Amino acid sequence: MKYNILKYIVATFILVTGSSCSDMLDEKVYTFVSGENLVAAKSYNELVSGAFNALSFGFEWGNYHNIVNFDTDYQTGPTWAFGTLGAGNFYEDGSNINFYKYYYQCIHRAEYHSYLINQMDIAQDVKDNACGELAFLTAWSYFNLVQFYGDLSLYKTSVSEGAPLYIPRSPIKDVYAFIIEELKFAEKAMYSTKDAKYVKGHVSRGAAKALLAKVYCTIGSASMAKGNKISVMEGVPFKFDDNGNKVRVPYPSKQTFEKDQVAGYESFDSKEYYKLAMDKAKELIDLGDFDLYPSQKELWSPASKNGKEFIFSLQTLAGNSTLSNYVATDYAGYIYTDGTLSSGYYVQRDHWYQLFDDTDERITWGVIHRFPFNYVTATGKLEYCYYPAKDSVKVRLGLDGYQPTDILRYDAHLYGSKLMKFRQITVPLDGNRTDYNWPFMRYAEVLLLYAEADNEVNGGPSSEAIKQVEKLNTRNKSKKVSEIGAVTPWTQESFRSYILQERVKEFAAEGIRRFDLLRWGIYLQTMNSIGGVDENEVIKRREQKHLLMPLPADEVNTNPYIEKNNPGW
Amino acid sequence: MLMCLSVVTAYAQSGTVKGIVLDETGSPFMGASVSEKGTKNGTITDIDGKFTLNVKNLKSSVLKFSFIGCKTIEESVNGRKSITVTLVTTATTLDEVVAIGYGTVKKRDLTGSVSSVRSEELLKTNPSSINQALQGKIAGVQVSQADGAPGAGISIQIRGANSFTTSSEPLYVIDGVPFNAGSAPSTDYATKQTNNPLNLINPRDVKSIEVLKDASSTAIYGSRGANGVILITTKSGYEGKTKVELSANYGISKPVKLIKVLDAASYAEFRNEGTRNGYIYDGKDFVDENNLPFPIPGRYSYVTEKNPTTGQISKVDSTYMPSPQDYRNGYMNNGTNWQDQIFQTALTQDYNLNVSGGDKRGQYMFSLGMLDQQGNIVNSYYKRYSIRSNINRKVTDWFEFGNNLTASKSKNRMARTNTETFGIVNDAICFNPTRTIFDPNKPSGYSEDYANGLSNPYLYVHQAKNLLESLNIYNSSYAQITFNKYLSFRQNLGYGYSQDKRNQYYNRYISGGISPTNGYASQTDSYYESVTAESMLTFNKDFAKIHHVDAVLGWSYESVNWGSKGMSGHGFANDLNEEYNMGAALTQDPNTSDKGACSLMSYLGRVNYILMDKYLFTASFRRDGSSRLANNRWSNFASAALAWRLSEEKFIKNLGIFDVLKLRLSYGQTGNQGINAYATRSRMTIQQYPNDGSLTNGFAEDRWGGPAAPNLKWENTTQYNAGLDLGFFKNRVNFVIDAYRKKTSDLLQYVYIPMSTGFSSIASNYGNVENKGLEIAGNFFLVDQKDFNWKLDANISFNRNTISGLNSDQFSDVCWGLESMFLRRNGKSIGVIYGYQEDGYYDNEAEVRADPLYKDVKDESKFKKMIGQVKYKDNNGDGAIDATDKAIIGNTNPDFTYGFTNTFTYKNLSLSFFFQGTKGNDILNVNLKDYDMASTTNMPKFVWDNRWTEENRTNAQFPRADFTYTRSLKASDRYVEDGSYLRLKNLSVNYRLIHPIKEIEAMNLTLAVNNLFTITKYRWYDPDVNTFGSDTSRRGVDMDSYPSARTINLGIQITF
Repeated sequence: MKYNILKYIVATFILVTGSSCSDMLDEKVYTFVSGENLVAAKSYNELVSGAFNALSFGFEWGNYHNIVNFDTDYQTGPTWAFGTLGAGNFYEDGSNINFYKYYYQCIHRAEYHSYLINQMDIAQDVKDNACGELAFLTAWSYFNLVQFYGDLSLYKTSVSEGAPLYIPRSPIKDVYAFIIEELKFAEKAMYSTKDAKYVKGHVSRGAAKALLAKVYCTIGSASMAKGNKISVMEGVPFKFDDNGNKVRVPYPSKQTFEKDQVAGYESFDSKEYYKLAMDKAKELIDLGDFDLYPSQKELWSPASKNGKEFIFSLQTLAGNSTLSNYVATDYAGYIYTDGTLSSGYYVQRDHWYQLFDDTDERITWGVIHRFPFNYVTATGKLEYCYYPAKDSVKVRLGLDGYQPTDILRYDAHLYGSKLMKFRQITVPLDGNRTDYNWPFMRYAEVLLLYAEADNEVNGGPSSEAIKQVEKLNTRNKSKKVSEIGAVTPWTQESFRSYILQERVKEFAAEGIRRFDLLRWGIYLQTMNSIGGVDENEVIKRREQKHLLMPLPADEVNTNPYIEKNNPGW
Repeated sequence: MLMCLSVVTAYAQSGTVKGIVLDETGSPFMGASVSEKGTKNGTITDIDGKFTLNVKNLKSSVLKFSFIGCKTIEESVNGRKSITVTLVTTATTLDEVVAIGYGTVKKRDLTGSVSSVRSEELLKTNPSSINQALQGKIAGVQVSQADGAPGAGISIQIRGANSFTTSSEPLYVIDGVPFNAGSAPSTDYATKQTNNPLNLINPRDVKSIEVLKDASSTAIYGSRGANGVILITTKSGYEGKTKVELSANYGISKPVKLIKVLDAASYAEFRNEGTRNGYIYDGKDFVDENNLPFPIPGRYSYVTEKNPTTGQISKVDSTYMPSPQDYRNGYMNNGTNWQDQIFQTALTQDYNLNVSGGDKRGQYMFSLGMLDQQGNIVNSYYKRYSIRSNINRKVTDWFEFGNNLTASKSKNRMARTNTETFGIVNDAICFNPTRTIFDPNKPSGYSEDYANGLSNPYLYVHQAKNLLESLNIYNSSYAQITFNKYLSFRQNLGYGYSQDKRNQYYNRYISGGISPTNGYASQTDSYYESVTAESMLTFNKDFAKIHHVDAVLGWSYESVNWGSKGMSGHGFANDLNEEYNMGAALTQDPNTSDKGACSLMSYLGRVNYILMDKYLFTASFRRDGSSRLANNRWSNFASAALAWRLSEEKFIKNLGIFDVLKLRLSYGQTGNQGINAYATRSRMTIQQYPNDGSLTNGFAEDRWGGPAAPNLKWENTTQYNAGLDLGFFKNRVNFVIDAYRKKTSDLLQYVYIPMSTGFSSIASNYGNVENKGLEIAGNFFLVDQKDFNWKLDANISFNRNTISGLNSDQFSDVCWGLESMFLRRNGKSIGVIYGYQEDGYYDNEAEVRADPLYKDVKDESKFKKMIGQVKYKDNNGDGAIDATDKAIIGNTNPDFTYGFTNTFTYKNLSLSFFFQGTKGNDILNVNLKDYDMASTTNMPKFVWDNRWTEENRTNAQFPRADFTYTRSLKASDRYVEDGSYLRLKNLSVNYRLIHPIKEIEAMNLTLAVNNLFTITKYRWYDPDVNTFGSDTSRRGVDMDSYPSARTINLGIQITF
């Protein structure tokens, strides 16, 4: 019997030691923190960085620069690259889905992080600046989305703060009201670039003002009545001769289009918004927060990254696989181990090159005219090709750096403009990722926005508008607007067309052209004036449905408030 | 099938009888009781089956030989001094004892659905892992290998898929303690290769495996029982003298088949045809025969250079350009067959030593194992070293303890298969056969084809490095106190630790490391540690001879933690140090690491009640709490079952038909805890952002995970089971039939939500799955004679799976280009394939013009281009081929799966063959995606033979050669193939020698062939393939699989 007692003692002992730990089902966390932790730690800087980090997603695999550039009149390349987005096949295209997804991630983060920062016990100006930056990011994201997709699910607070998972789409005007509200807060809340507390690479009050001017201009041009005219240098890329051979049409021709009023902008007063745009742009010019670089070469020098002309750029870091990108490789090519220039598949069309004066630095310096494209194993020598064809005389004579042995090639990625601006990087161009800071907004745009608005407000360009544009002419060594005006006096229509063209010359492949064509209501007119396909068989024909991108199918399928995709999709 | 026959040898007379008892296979039968009839005189056979007994009368005494589950034999001594008896299991297996989780029960007393496999059955195929050994053996258990790579992952599904996005793998319980293992670090994103955590158990150490299928059996495992439970019991020692068993196995294997590809000459013709098609259809310039890629006839080509001063043109280089015919005439040895360069005849060696013994107070078993398995792809292998020690000891008559320890170390060098990119098998099929292996002009010294993204296959298999090393320790100990005859207490303590290390290096000449990467290296490791404690109180008592109660009450706690770290980089100065000096990489990728923990606590109880040996009842209850859940942490799971042994009833007995007739009914609930830890929380992780080139820390919610889901709860599976056990003709014919219906509701899954929330999915409980099925297993003792036996074991299972409760369709991608190919839709099964439907080919211009799709096309050249191209069905007739034209084009679920084994025994010789197969399942053959005749890669011969040409319009299965780089085939039914097969999985001959020489107790020789033949229409290597492993939403995919092996094994087993 004494054993029996021992048995129970042993059993109880085992049971008790086995089960005596407390908090046995607590979930222990090691690799992440909660929002509340960050509030307590006053990690406002980290929350700002974490939100802006979402901007880099689109650049990891080329989604962003493809979608904003491919579907435009002046960009081309091989059909394998341009067969989907570049040919108007937007439905369920990965870049389209990601453009939508990533900007909404920016919005979610900006709003949730702002909510957290607002709970922190920190100095008011620090809090304002941080929240201002996040408000800017929210506005920038919605502004991009609303132009591509029209009506949007408008989250003014994030789901992490308790907003519902499913909400209906809001009309365009409500989206703009929210964008403007955010920016009006941001332009006051943020530091100026001259402020001692301002940190390079961040957005500033000037960025909010510039974006506000751009938003006003966008509304102004989009809501402008149907029938107003604007001309574009465009036209068919080739014709067939009598023998049925393809012959390139060397120059674009002037096409004058009657603009459409963009759907969803009917309730805006175009004039009113242009006035707002003009004032806002002028305010920023007068503040002097930003300035132009004196030449294209200095502008795109690696030393100028985040410099005085760059209002808002993607921030990158060389050698970091998620924070660096292939933009430079894709647009400017890289030197392969055998010495040839590889990649660089996305080029500006020859018709774009023909828009420039011969002296314009944007082509004299800005375009790569000669590069090795083939390595001949037998001789161990490199073969070079040259661009454009009209330089053939210089080639024969060996002028301007050409060699008489240089060859003319019409391959899709060899005959077109590869832009030097894409070499604004601090690491070797070797095919690996580089630190190319994608410029979202440059000061040059503020000048052109001012001129555009001034022209619409005053029924033609004022002398102030001429003066601002000439700053850019001078920098680029192109013909001055006053000189052009002296020969053919500017009209509202001709100056409007000039500014539009100046924008595509200055911001080539910077992701601005598609937005411009859309906001002016001339996207279909312009694209279809190319006559179906460009010289590389890239389909440029567009229909009504292309005016809005299709929403990702998952968005339509999952949101009970969205019954149908955008018209035509 | 158990009958006892006896071989008798008679001798002179004395008071002592010696003898040996053998089992039906001729091995010594240990522990059998030998008694003299009508007396209390008796003994038990020792480890060698030997006994010595003094009998009263050597003439007239009768010896009784018996053992539980065996037919008792009575043997008259009849003056003999030595008697040899063979005890055969009674023709019913129902007296076997089977493990049921927190206890054991006689098979005849089972109320639920439990299947059992013994060691001998398992070892017939010489498996390297235990889960692999289960294939085709048990009704309702579907075993699929990822592919044929040594050490590759195996996934098991019991009674259909219960879940979409969480795992459907069963719970493994080893020696009473739940077993978990983390997954090894993956190779990279594109590669789906998995390893098999159960490799840690040497199959030769396993005594038996029980599979618990219905809810009455699994509910005792509560929240983890929904996918079924597999109980693994390892061997232990026996009372008796020390037994030493040594076994050696040698295997030689070859791929089950090779894909026939074009030889160099036909390949050259393909290239020429592509060029000709260019001008015939695609509007390219005419190319004369002399300027084809392989000119007819062959000729020299010259590189010339112009002297800049003299203008003289000189030939600087000349190359012979062969014609296709040249390759038939022996040029370059007729080209290279690249599959020959990567495949090899592989050798396998497997050695095991097992020492066991014990006495009344304790037993021990100690084993050592070494497996060295070469893969059929050069340089791939799997090596494992394992030790096990199982001991138990009775300290007093009421206190006992024991410990089972396994440790194993393995090394797995992987060939790159099961991958979206750079797969080596695909590479060998695609690589240009006109090239030689070596090319002294290239920096690597090997011929290259980077333009097609391919590495030289020979170079790749010799130089690509992907090595996974694992170290596993698994220990379970127990202490048991017996309070009295009825009540005992047992405490289990389990500890498991696994560590996996993966080292990779891809040098500058092979895919993954080619310029501009210049060598890519990575080192990653991960660990997974678990501690389990279980306390159990067991009660077992008969009341008034007609009531039997068997009850268990328990508490269990499990705590798990895991972690990993990794580093990678590229840009090495040279390839000499491979990944050993990571600091040498010019570009260092950010380091990664992870750590997590979770715990589970449960209270459980079960009562078995048997009334008059006829009516059996089981009820169980379990309450589980998990750290993974927040607001709904605890959940209850209950089950009830009853069985009625009808054959014990008079009115059935009187029929004289049934030896066994038992009806079983059960109902119960189980759960699934397959959601990731931390899903209930908002997770702010590091998301850095650089400002003006200087990196700053950032925090944001995880980009891939969803928002916090605090209200998550367990998935709940309710299962009904009805079973019938039948035995006829003196139990020579036995059937076990089970029908079940199980419904899983509140599926734990990631549900897509609008992207406008900033997330794309959220963890939630949503949707239902129902599985209905029928399982039939039968044992037949077809011939049952003195020297000759023929036994047939067969099983077949049917399962139907239906989804309900979804708000919208859900999809899973397969790979780049085959997106959204798996559909989940209400009323359909998990595993239906969704895509475009093909409608033949455009045979001529008129057909293109007549197609409404081309009514608006103005470009005349377009019509010609479409000839010989794939035509897709415009199912909605809207004049465009887009996602709305997709339809259900396949189903990866089989109509049924089956297996049957024939075993013939003649004296000491036995022969068995085991067939296994599936019927009616489709396979998504992703491999075909690479063979669209639109690039200059080589292809399988069946692609070329069935391509569209003007002559072969009607039977075309592949489009014409087209080198315009504009073809992109859609995700269509072209990739869906019938995956039904019947396979002779194993054929083995076994010869047993008893006492061949004095020192040796027994010797067993086995010659076995695995995968001897397969009858299937499937065109790729092996229909037993499952690229995505345990991912239930994407079963039955073949993506660059490693071919299975046909293996001849010679095994020898010696017992001392």
